[in-house]
Order: sequence, then C-alpha cells, then structure tokens
Amino acid sequence: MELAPRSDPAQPELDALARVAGQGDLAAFERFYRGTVARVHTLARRIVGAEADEATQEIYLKAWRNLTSWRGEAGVSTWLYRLARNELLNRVARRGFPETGVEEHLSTRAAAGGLPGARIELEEAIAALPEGARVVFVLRELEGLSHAEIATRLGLSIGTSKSQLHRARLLLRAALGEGLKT
Amino acid sequence: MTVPDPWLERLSEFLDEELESSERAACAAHLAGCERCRELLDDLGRVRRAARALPERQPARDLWPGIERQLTRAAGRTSWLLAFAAGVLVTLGALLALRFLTDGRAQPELVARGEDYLLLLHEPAGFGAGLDEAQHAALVERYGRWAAELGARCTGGEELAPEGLELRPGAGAATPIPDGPRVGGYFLLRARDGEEALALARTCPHLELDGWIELRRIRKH
Repeated sequence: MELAPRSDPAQPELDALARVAGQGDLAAFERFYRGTVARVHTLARRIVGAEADEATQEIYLKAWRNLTSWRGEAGVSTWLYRLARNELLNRVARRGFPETGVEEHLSTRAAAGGLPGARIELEEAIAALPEGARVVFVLRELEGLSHAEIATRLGLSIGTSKSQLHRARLLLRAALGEGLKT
Repeated sequence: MTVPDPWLERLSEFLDEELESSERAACAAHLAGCERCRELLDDLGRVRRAARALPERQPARDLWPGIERQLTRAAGRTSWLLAFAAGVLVTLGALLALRFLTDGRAQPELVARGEDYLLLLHEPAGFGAGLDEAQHAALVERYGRWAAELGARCTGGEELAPEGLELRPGAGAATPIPDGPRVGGYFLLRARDGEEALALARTCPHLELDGWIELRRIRKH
C-alpha cells in the first residue's frame, strides 16, 4: 500500500484518469480525487466552513455518478470545479442567502475608517466574514466570477454583489490591520 | 464628524475597473486630492492581491475512505442494474423503465429497522418530452445509479407511464389525466428517520432535472 502523497497530476493526466474512472474504475477515481481535492476542499471550506468535509464527499459522489456526462469539451477539472461550486452554492441557498441589515452597514462604515485590528491570518479573516459578504468575496476574488454571474447565481442585484464585495474587502482590511502592510 | 465621502463606497469598483469612463475620470480626480481615499484604495488592492495569492490546502483528514465506502456499496449492483434497465427498455419500452430490486447482501439490519418513505417524483408539464430512446435510457441510467448508490436504503422504484385515468366518485366515466404537471415515478426508501430520508431525497437526480419531490412517510398497518 502506497502511503506517500502523490503530486498533483497535470491536466491531461486528470482528463485521462477521468475517462478511465468514468468506465467504473475506482482506483482511477481515487487518483483523480487526490489530484483535485485540495482545490475542491479549499473552496468548500471558504464557502460552507464547517460543512466542508461533508460537502466535499458529496461533491465527489456526485462527480462519480455524473462522470459520464463529462464530454471532454473542457478539461475535467473545469467541469469538476463548476460542479463543486454549484453544489456549494446550493447548500448556501438552502440555508437562505442572508440579507444585509442596517447594523451591518454601520459596521461596514466603521471598517472603512480603518479601525485597528489584531493581526489574524487572511484565511481566518475570510472565514469570519458575514456569510453574504464572504460568499460574494470568494466567488469574485478567488473564483473569478463576474458580478453578473454572481448576481444570477445567488439571486442578487449586481449592485448588491458589488457592495458585498466592497464590504468584504473593507472588513478584511480592518481585521488584518497593520498586518496588511507587511 | 466628517462628511461621508461619496467615493468611499465605489473604490472597489474603481480598483476592479468596473466604473464607466466618466465616473472613472471623476473618481481619479477625487483620488488625486484625497489622501484618505488613496490609502484606502491601496489597502483594498493589498487585500485583493493577498487573497489571490492564498494557497490551496488539503483537507485535514483523508476523506477518500468515506467516499470509497459509499461507492463500493453501490458498485456491486451498478452493472447488473444497467443491464437490467437496458433489457427492460428493449422489451417493454418506456413503460417499465425504472426498476430496482433490493440487494440481499446489503445491510440487512438497516432494512429490518427504520421507517419506509415514498418519494413521489413530480414533473412539470412536458418533462422529458422530445427525448429519443437513447436519451431516455441515459436518464434511466442516472436514476438507476442513484438508486444503486443507496444500496439497501432504496427498496423500490418505478417510472410511471405518462398516460393514466382519473376516477371520481359516482358513475361517470374515468377520464384521461389532463396534460400538465404530474407524478412521473416514485422511489421507496428505508431510512432511520425523517431526517435521513430527507437527506437521501435531496441527493435524488430528479431535483437536478427540474422535477420536484414529495416525501411521505408510509404508515404501516
């Protein structure tokens, strides 16, 4: 039994693994999992926090079921990450996407003033963001979706998506404090 | 108390180059004279850079064993199920396309205990219309894979033929069910409790195909 971690397979190798796995080869699917899970789990952690493990498992079970629907037009990792994003956003949607309250607006204003904050790691600061701001921030800043896509996917206006992104950045700036400059 | 700065709320849009050219020019002019906004813009840029440079991390524990367990529980039945579904299609056509038998090897204790639930698969009008035989078979396979993955927790399921009759009290004739939304099939689940039944039902491919599910506990008499 090989226990040493494998290095991330390159894209063509992932595609090849996915084709074999699509025919029911579990060993190939495991290698595919190991080559992609860091990105999937990182996204899951950022979007659904404590449910990341459960969500990641669900994503791969679904990927296994649906591998036959991957036609090879885009790389399989693109296909997988889109599936992952949809699954995670469905989770968020099931809980109900939070509205921005008046108090949150006030705290955003305070954050704009650059309140001194203890330095914490950026990843933790992202995790501590209010959910609405966090999800928009992750999709825009880390996943590269446009505001139009985010708005459609989350049922927001484009203006709300933009203001949530801005708010997230301001809150992160406040949370990181002087640590931002180093 | 300072007057709220009108550009303060727009600096992310400036940073992301999402302002229209006239607004962009006005914002740039403002920035030239406002140190506070310049500092803020720099910081927002730092946040953006730092976030984009964040590394991906592996999960803290290996999730593969859990995934593998769920997949192998289903794997033994998949090939049988696909062959079966194909055979049914050839011989009986769409009428009896979905059929899943219980697997005697899988978790008898789970089958013995727990409650039974009925999943009614509701369909919008025109659901599945225009599918050719191969596409229909692919659809059947998708439901079949799902049922197979549930192992002993799925105790049955069928597709319903689209045509049917409505019978009302009295002597009137039975009338064809009208066009429009209808129940297109069902699954029977065995679950520990309503919570597990709900969790199982949520994974049903029907929900990804514009259908909706009615989940009902079966009262045994």
